[in-house]
Amino acid sequence: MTIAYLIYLAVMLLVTVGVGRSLFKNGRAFLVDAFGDEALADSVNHFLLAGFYLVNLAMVAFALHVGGRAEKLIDVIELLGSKIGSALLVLGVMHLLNLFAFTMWHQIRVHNRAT
Amino acid sequence: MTVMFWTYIAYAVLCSGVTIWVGLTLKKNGPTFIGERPDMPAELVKSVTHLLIVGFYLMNFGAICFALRMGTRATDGETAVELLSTKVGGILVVIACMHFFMLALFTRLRKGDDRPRYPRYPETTSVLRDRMSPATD
Repeated sequence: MTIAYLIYLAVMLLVTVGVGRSLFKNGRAFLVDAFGDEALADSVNHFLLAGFYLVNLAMVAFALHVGGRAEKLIDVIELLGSKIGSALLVLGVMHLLNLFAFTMWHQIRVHNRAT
Repeated sequence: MTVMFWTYIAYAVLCSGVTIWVGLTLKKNGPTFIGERPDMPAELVKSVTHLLIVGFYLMNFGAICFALRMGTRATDGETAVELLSTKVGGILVVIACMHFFMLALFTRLRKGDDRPRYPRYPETTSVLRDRMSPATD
């Protein structure tokens, strides 16, 4: 079970840092377009990265012992799978909702400029 | 238990392979499909495509891991193949849904698709607009 916890923590740390860096790097152009202001976009980008790390690490720590214990290898694999999977699903939904929110912001800004 | 172990290995390899293949296809052909837009530089189109594909990967790998423990346990080769095909089939449906969702979003970004979509709910969004207008002007 100790090894299962270690694998869980290692996988979630890797995913958190990897996805966070990738979004931070590639999200900048999107945010600059949505906010129309480079300084504001950069600051929002940093807030988003910090928020992403916080939410993710909190969720990982919180869910560490949710789901019971497993002793046999096959139970450990299943438990790890469902824990990592639910964390990834939450992250995916949050990420797509963020994209929709910033797109809406962009559309409101374009609309303001037009009227 | 070893039967189940190898079933899980095969499941993970098959499902991740299909997810990565679809993700790479979307990444390669997405910007071409969206096309050139005068109001969006090519860099921005690539960045938006990338962000959407990260969401695609997160949802798919999440579903793959989450669905790992669903279903019964296989005891011999025959039940293992049946279980494997049910599980892989379910994941393929999820991947297909996410793929068509991505295509729908790409279509909305596509050049020439300039249907008015804002304001959709004028009463609600006018509040937001009023709040935002000092910052944008």
